Amino acid sequence: MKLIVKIILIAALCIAGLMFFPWYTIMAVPFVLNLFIKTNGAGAFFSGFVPVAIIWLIQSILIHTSTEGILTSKIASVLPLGGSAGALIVLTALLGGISAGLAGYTGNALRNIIISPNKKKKSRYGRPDYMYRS
Amino acid sequence: MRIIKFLLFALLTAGLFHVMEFGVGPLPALGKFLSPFSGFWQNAESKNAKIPATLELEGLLEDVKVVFDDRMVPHIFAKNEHDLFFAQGYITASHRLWQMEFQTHFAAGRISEIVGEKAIDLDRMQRRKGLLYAAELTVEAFERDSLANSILQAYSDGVNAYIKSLNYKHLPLEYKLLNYKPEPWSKLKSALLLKYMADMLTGNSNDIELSNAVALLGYEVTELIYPDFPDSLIDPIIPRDVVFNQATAKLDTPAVPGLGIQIPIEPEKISENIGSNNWAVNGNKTATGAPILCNDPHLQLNLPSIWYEVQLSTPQFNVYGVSLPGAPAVIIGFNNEIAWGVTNGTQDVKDWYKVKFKDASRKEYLFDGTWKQTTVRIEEIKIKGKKPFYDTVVYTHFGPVVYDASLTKDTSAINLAARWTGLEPSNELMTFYYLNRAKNYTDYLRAIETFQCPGQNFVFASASGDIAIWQQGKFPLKWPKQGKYVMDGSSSIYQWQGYIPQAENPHVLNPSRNFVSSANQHPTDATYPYYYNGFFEFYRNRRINERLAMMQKITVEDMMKLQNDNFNLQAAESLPLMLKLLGDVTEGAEYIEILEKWNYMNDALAEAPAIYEEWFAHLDSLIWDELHIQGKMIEIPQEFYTIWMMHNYPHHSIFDIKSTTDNVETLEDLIQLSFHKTQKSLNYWKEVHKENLTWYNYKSTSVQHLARLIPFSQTNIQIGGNKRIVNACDSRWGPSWRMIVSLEKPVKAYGVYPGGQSGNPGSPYYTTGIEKWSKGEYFTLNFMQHAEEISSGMTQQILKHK
Repeated sequence: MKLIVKIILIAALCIAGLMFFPWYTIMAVPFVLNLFIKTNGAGAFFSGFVPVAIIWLIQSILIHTSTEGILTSKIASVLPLGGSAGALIVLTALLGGISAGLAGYTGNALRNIIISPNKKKKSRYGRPDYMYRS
Repeated sequence: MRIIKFLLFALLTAGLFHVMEFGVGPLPALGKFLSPFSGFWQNAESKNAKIPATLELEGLLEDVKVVFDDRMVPHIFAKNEHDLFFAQGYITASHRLWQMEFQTHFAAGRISEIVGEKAIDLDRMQRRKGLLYAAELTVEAFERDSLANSILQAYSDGVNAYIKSLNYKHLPLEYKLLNYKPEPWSKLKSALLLKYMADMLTGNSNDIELSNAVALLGYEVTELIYPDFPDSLIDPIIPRDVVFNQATAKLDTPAVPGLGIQIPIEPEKISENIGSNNWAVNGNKTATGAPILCNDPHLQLNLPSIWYEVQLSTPQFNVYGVSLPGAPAVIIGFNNEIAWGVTNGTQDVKDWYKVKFKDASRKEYLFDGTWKQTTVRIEEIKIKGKKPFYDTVVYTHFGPVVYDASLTKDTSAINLAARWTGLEPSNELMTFYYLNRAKNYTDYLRAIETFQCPGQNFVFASASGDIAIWQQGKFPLKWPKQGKYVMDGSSSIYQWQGYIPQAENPHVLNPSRNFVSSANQHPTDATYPYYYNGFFEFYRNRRINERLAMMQKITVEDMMKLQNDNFNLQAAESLPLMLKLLGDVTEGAEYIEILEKWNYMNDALAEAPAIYEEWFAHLDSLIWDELHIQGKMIEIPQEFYTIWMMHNYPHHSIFDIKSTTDNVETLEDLIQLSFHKTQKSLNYWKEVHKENLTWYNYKSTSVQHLARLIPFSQTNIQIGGNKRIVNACDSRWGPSWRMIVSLEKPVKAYGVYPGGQSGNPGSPYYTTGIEKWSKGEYFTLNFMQHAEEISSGMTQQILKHK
């Protein structure tokens, strides 16, 4: 549940951020959120990977279709993708996702250092840690 | 453990960020580049994108109205000239910024900054030719002329207003791909563009190659196969019935013309297909009774196109045509009263001198028995990812020492300095400014008289009925053969002694034949009182003049047909002889059958042109075997002279194949041998290509992106023609703008170019004209009389001053 909330939060902040800030918003947002909101390692990775991959996938498909693919296959030929528009869209989504995922995971790893293991056993709300594992 | 884990992933994340933000090796910065919110995706443009109705621009004095038509041609209506050129700069940049900067970086020898050390040799050569030096002198010339200076400043401010409005998201695609940023525009960059054109059109001459030819073959054979002036065979620009006055300028002539010495250098080659056609016919020859003017400059076929179509209008003047992105004004075009066009005047204006330095310091060189001081320019060539490279270029009073031991890495190298009119301060831009507003022959004459380099054949027609042509440029006074070969730089007798007086440049107004034309041929017959040499064309002009002489009641459609004429005059003058001397063949009879039926038209779908061109190339290579063994040190004679030798000297020793010592070959042997090779190579071609041996497949014309990115290029375009044919389209060079103007009231004009208004490969306007161009079709040009004359498909935008 918390993971889903985090994914939605990261998605929203990334979309808003990308309107004004450079592409690495998608690394900064998962990093910071995972620093403050606890998850396990896999959760941290996917909390970045899933929203950003989806956002980049949808946005590139939208641009691809609204411009009748005028540039997609050309770029897919300049890059070693054999001119495949699909491959370029997938590459875009994957690279965005991986960047965001890694940043999220690193944020979580930093959190694990800063917050001592003792503190970690109890959350701010006093409930045992395992209750958040789902 | 936790700390190690964090450090590991922090490192991995940082590494990924670095690669994605800064790129690695040949890969672009993928994160920046692929982001659908700011990367290349944002350069993809929709057909239905709306042009904003208004834009606020700081720097304008008043509002400017711009109408974009259905091909995205801007029609700019300004209330004053400052705003006109500011808007021209702004709008041109919005479509062509990357090209504008790349071309000027190329001219300035700054490509290594973008692509790294692989471009050092290219950059060094540009610096050594002195293009940057010449551009700096040109800026000084602009600044001495307050009008020129204000025009260039306004244009430059307009370009910069656009550059300032850009963030990464809006950068042209190529900046994202190559991961760099535009720098501010300047007057120097506009000057560099003009020098880029001057260098392209006049910056090569074959003096070094001809000296090598003399060293190998002697003067007699060299003069036979590279003649200057085959007077009886040419059809000059100025009709033969024009009488020239006696020369007013005199000069001293030395005993020997130049040096026949071996110079182990392979100079840059100029494309032999650089050239152009232009002509004008007066009302006596047209169906409407109004003059018609036509022009098609032949340049390298690139995307973005070298030309950008534009209409410029103020309350004082209204002009339409093509501009060079990076320079204000219209370069080839028309207004309500006149039309003009240009072809290259291919007289040799670059001569080479052998320089003798006193010692290795190169501070002094020998001249008329004394030691003269040199000056030095240290050229800093920045290299992407590396420390800069410094090249010391020594200047003599002739000009820069282009070739020396430091460049050729050969310590015994000969030092060669170049004297080139392109390195002298001049202000070509104002010619176009005044042509844009010219109303009659007098205005035209005043506009062109200061034009120096590259020498151009300015064709002219006016609604009032005049037609004219001037070969205008600054042409050195030369004694016979001066500058044909490399000369001795230590004696003043070899230096230029002045220039042909401007009023005596070849010209004609309203000739009796009712038309004027030029296609890079000799400007005059032998009665012209001054010596000149150069690289002249022999075929297009004769075909054009023959057609124009025959044509009556000419319509615009007739002119379209002539610009796209595929008649291969060279084949008509050589193939019958080749077939006759070939006799019967055992192999390849099917090719002979096609050739025998051929009408000499290099049409796209015909097979015969492919067979002829392949055969002639094999034959040419066999004939000039003695020159090919010297690599690229010697230029192969022009086809016209080769064919002339075939007709007149079939037993000359040049036809002997030097590698066969036991046998003396004649032309007949070479024709048979070359046909044997031809049928084999054509069979091989068919095997490899697995397509029909049509002329266009064989020729494979492409319009290529400036950075040679094939996905941004168009390849194998279905178009006929060839070099030396009126429709001068070979594989990489061709008509870069075809224009036809009928000076009726109102003026009717047609044009097309192999490209589109937008330089963005992601724009629907990137290749607009290519299809029509390849089919020989034209767009009707919308020459608007005011900003509200809007028809369907047009959008008006107001550039508001702040």
